[in-house]
Amino acid sequence: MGMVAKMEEVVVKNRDIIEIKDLSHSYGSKMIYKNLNLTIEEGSIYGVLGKNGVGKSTLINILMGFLVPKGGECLIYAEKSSSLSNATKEKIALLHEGFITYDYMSIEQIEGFFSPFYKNWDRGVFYELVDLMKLNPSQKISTLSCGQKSQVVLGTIFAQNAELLILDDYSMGLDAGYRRLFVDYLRDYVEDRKKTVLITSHVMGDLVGLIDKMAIVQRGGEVHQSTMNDFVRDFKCYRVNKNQNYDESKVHRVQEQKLSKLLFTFENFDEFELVECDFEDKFLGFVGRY
Amino acid sequence: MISSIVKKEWQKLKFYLISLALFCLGVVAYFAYNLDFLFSTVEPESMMWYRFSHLEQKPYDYFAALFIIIAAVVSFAQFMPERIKNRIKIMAHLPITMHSSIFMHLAIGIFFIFLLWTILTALVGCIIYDYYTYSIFLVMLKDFSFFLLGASIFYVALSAAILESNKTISSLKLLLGIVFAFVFFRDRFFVVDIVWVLVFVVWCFVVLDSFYSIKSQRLKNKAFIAVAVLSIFFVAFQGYALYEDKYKRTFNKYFIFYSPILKEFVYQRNFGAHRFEYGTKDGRRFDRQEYESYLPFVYWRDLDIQKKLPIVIDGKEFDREIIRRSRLSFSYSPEHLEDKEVRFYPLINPDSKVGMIRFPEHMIQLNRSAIKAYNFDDGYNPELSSEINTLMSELEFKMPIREIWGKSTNMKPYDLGYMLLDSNNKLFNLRRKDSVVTFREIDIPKGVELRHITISENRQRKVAGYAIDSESNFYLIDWDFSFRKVELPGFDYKIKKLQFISNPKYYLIRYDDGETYHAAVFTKDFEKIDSVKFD
Repeated sequence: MGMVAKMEEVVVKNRDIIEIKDLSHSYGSKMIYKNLNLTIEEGSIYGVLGKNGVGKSTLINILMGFLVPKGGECLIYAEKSSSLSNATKEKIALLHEGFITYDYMSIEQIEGFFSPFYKNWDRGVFYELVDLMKLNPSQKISTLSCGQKSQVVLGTIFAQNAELLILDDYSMGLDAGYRRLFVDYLRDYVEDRKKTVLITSHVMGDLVGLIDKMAIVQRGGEVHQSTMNDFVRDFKCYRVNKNQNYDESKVHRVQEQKLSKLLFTFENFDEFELVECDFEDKFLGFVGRY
Repeated sequence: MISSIVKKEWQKLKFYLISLALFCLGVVAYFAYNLDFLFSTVEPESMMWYRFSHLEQKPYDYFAALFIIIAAVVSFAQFMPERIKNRIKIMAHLPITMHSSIFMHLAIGIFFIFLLWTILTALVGCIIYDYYTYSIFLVMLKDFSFFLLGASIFYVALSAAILESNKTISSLKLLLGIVFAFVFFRDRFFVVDIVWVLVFVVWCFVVLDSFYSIKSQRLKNKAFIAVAVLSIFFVAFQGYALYEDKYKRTFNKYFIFYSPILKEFVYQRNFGAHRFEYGTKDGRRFDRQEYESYLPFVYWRDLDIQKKLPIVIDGKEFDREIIRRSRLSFSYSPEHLEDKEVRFYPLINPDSKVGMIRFPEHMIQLNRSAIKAYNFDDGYNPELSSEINTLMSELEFKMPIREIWGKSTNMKPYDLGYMLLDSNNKLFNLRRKDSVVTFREIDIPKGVELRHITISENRQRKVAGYAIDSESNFYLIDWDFSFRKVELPGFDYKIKKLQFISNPKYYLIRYDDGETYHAAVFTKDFEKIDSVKFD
């Protein structure tokens, strides 16, 4: 009996799919990442969040070998990201920023193009998304709206039935309806399939309840890693009067308002008014509005 | 996978390819119309054959530019959208190796160029075959094959520049590609030019290097770098040869003459930029006026205008007519050794009842085992061919014909026909006059292996030309085709050019390699008077 109890306490750690070790990268004097260490476990949904231009896509480009970092290394399935084998590339479905695709092709042509490259290609998944939009398979992708095009591109991503999905800024150019559609579909898709997902976005609200862990990338190379729940629980917002004193060293960011100040902090200030706010507000409190 | 990529590329390129195909059809239609116009307005039509085989006027030469355009359009249409729209990342992430991905794309691009090439070659080939002979048709096929190779090289070079992510390296690759294409395309291709296939292969790997550049990587294979550097040297060498051949101005440092007044050699030294020096070997210097006064047979027109003719030299009077009639000049340069691309010669046929020689209807094609005669209206002429070959076999002419020399033009006062050298080093003369073909053996000095003959039909009817043998011995050929050896110390036919000049008193022969300048002067009976050498 004692033995069983002991076994229940064992935490089964999934293998690391992505390992980033001491990653540093800069564009000239502009530091993007400084000694970043990060691991993404199998089966997790990991978000890389940050405002536009902080380096989310840079991280994806480094991971996919399109950029060579100034320092450190990135491993995907224990292979160097700069020289992935064909077998590993087949395990990774990659959504390029801006829904890059062969838009001169029709919907059925693009399905026909990608399918021979992937052993686990799932035609059903592709046409499920296409049918959801009630699209004509013979329609050219260039004639679709941005939202419709995004669904076709996502169809080619999901149909690969890959183990790892890297989705670089899925929200670009999409209205709230399409973003929600995507998030709902992704949630359903990964639910039973034990997929690993790395997703980047600057639209935070959509990701609540979807991602497990996240890295918030800030300008200057600082990266805050946490789980979504821990962040929402621990990062608080307090309102203080303009003339009220507080310990500045314990405050992450101060947001000036007309009559008061909002203090964003991981510390407890019981003497101040706690402001209820959602993840998006806290995220903006963390990275700053501008 | 390849069919998948083929379909993808076809979807992308079909508009461009169809447009190119229509454009090509338009160019071929123009080509057919223009060629028909040229043949219908030239008289006789064999003049067009002559222009092709002797003046290298190939009516299809602008198709080289068309193939460059095709290569550029296919390359731009195939890879420029991938770069601009960043779709190149999709290519790089497909679960196939980088080299498989890019080489498949290149193979498809070249296949599309090949398709257009096939259409063009078939159509132009049919037209050429209709107007020209089979041997010229084969030259056209050879040229078009090299056009395809050149277009393929330009296609991969341009693709390398487009795909390259580093702008400086991209510009360098583009520049190199243009230089390679510029050096490659020329009027005539040789079998040795097949070595350019290796250049094409090297460029394919340069494209791979460009493809790697989008992943911030480079092709670091030492063999690739070595071969790439070698190919740059190869093209630099070819480029220099092209410059030497086409663009370098020939610069004569010395113009040497023999003065009948001074009885010694005088020279005009050229320093370039219109700076000259005049003098003699022993160090005397004089001005231009004095220099010209020592050469009355060179500047006789000035003397004539100044009413100073006739002039008396050594007690003999030389008037305008004597000087004019005595003038004769012919020259040699190592380029004369180059074979014609097609051994197709007009069979001159002077009519003794007509003053001027007309350009003949018939041309003869020198094949390995026989001579074939053609004319435009009937094509192959078996009767004339048989007549010539029978005459040749009667004199035991040993095929194949090693060399043919002669002045293949009707712009001359007489016709001495062609000199044919057989496989046994025997020399024969083939002539036609009043539609009668004659063929006779010419006696040449024993043991001589002829390398070059120039025939120069002239009104003096004394010197018919000259010959050069394998030992660089120089022979003047008399009007009766007897050989007269002329001692020219230091003459080397492989590197030195030569000029023979006749005036009323002397024969002057000067020869040089651009560094050392020789001259020798002879009496009218070919007795050597003097010689000189300038370095």
